[in-house]
Order: sequence, then structure tokens, then C-alpha cells
Amino acid sequence: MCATTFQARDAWSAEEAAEAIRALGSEEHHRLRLIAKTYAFGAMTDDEILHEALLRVLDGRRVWPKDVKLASFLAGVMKSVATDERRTWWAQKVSSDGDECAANDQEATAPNKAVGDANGDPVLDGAHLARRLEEVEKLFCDDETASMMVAFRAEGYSAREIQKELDLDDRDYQALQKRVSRGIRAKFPEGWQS
Amino acid sequence: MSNRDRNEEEKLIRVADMIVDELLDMTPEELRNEATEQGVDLVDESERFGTVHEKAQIAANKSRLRAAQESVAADREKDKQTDRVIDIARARKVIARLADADNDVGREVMLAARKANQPLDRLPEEDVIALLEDLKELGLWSDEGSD
Repeated sequence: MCATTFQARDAWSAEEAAEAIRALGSEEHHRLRLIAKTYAFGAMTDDEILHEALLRVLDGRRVWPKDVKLASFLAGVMKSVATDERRTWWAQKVSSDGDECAANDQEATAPNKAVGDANGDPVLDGAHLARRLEEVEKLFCDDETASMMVAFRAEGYSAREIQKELDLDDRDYQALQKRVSRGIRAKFPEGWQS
Repeated sequence: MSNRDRNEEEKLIRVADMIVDELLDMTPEELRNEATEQGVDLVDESERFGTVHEKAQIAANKSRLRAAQESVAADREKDKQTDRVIDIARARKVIARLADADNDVGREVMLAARKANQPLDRLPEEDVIALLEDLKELGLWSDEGSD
């Protein structure tokens, strides 16, 4: 019988991570800001996401594997911070609404609201998120390939599957992804909250 | 969180992942050029990052200090429990010696053992400690240089 052993990935200490973060240049600061804005569709601002991600790394809760680039690692932490926060927000919302059925009824009849409701609380229900995705798809109404790219990515198609569906080689796929991503960022420079 | 909420959230996260992949692929020069085109001042960007970073560092330091304090407190508690084991052994010796004495203290100790319905050397730890504390309170025994 083959015994399986689990070995922790080689990782930097919290002090080493702190040193690397301190050494980041302005372009990296800008990159991290843009990533925070991209994941900030929810209950936190980009500043809050960035702060919480840095905190989790600096206090040692999140460990930076040596085989991952710092920006990629921090992007992953920011994504998980934003997702955790949305889930917490939803849990509290459902709890304060009484039960999930009430929340679902509200969702079905919710009018088109902006990001915050009358109390300034974020609106994160499925209907709102679906409208946000529609807005993104509409950006490319004159560019069917780009529009399909957004739709396929949203549905969870892999790069290979999208290439096959849209008949794109590697280079064309990369170029399309760049065009779509930059188009979305140009339309929402302050992130998807705006 | 309904299934629809989660489903729509996952779709947006996948599109966000695509954008983030592209951001991670950009060279510093591309980022700099794009910032210039969009009128983003990278000096301001760095200052803003520095503010967030500093606050996070302070919070992390506090959090690590708290963890260190909790660790020290846990170690002290462990040490206290070890000390107590040593005290119990010492206390039993003291009790045995006091019981041998033909005086009020010895009679008091033997009386306590009879009340507990246990031979003296099998008195529960709590009873041993309580007995010594009682004797101390009554002024019949002192723990300073008494053993």
C-alpha cells in the first residue's frame, strides 16, 4: 500500500512577504489597485479589499508560496476576501430579512436599483448581478466575437473550449481577451461598483 | 444566499478572473503607459497604496502582539498547572508530617481524613489543598519554611 504524505509548499515567512510588499514599485501599486477594483463588486470598496488582503498576509493568516508571483498571490487573496465578505453580507441579509424565502421574494420583485439602496446598503442580489453582466455584454454589441467571449467566460468555458467555439488560435485568443478586458476596464474605470 | 445569487455571482467572478489574468500579464511599462493615457498619477497611486499598507501593517502588528500575549498567557497557565502538581506532592508530605504530630494540628488533620472517609495518603488533591488552606487560616500551619 502506498502511503500518501502531504508536504507543505515551500513558502515565504510573513516578514519576508512584508519586505517584498514594501519593495513594490508604483506600477505594482497601480496593478494591485486595478485588481482590487475588479473584485470589488459587493460589500467592500477596493481600499477595504486591499487592506484586508495585506492584513491577512502581514499577520500570517495567508502564506505566500515561493512558486507564486507576489501580484498573483495577492490577487488570489483579494478575490477570496471579496468573496468571503459577500457571503457574510448575504448571510446577514437573509438572517435580518427573516428567512431566505423572504429574500427570494424580494429578489423576484426588486426594482432596478443602483449599487446602494435607500439606506446606502449595497445591493448584491442575483438580479442586480445579472444586470451588471448584461451591461458588460452590451459593451460589445457591435463586436459579436467579443460579446461571445464574455458570455463563454461567464458560463465557465475553458480557454481551449472558447478557442474552439470561436475558431481562434492562441495568438488571436490572447488578443481578444486583452481587448475585452481592457474594454471593460475602460468602461468601468472605478470598478464595477460605478 | 439563493442559488440565483450564487450563480450570478460566479459568472461575474469568472469575468473578473479574465480581467485580472490580463492585468497580471501586463508589463510595468504597459501599466505605466495605460495610467498616463487615463490620467492616473502613479505617485498619487503609490501614496494611496502606502496609506492602506501602513494601516494594514499596524493592524497586523497589533494582531501578532495579541497572539504573542495569548501564547505567553497559555504558557503561564501551563506552568501554573505544573507548579500545582509539585505543590500537591509537597502538600501530601506536609500533611503526613503534621498528622504524625501529637498535638491539635495532628488531630485536626486526622479528623479531616476521617471526614473524607479516605486514608490520609489517598485524600483527593482538592481536599489536601483545602485542608492546608484551612490550617493556614486557623494559624496552625505556615507554608514559609515549614517543610
